[in-house]
Amino acid sequence: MQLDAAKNPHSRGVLSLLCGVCIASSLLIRSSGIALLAGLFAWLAVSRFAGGEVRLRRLRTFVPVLLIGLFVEILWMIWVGQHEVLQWPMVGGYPQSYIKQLEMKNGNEPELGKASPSDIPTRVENNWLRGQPH
Amino acid sequence: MTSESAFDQQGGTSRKLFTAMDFVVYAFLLGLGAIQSYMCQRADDFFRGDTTYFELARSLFETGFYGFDFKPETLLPPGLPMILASLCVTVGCTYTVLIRSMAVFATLGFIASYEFLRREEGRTVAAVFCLLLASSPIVFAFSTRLVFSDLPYFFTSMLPFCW
Repeated sequence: MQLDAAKNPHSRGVLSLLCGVCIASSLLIRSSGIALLAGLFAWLAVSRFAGGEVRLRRLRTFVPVLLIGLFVEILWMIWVGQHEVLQWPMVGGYPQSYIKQLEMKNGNEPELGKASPSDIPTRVENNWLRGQPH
Repeated sequence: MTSESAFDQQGGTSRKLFTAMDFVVYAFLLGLGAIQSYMCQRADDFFRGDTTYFELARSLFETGFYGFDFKPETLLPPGLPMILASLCVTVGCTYTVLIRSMAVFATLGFIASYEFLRREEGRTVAAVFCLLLASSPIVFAFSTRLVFSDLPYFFTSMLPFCW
């Protein structure tokens, strides 16, 4: 990334801001953009094994980017918490948050009820098989 | 993300110069985008699952309310509806305009991917990956039949890697 190698503090600041805006936009377009934040966090965690100067430079550059993304996601989650209207209060899952849907045996069939720990291996196996090429 | 040494080996030359090969790849990607834009599905109105995004966008720009069917939308983030609403205000609010924007996002996403891969893996690898994917039937179907969040997300999530 140019941002990682930029020497000029001004260009580093501008690129960092643009990077943060793009990550925030990704999060606002799809919730799966949270994977970008997780990846950035993991990369920064691994960067502790890099040299001291590199590690500090990366932290100074990318922690603000990470914080911009987290700020946007937290704002969205607060808004969701304040405005959520349950279409079917007695039924879990859709159209509630993705985390709530993970609690169900099957998000597409909420009438099956909540998942227990023993359902998780079956879910992983089913999702794995579904992802295989036919 | 590249290490400094890898960046120095490749970035110094491949990042700054725009070669004939880059020009050809850009031309192919833009050409494929133009084909997708021209050959998009024609319809008078939305009729598939993407109706939700359109209605959210319409609600945003007509009333300023982010919701659908009198309820605030709490599952889908507002990014794509905001993009669609801004297109409705500036360009037009027809199905054709909005579906053509998907071809634009797909093209920009592949250009961003090419720029990223070119710096990381070199021109040949970047060109092969981008042209193979950009010419695939799945991408064609996505960019010509659905106003969905996948392609705008593809673009915005690849862009940070270019900087």
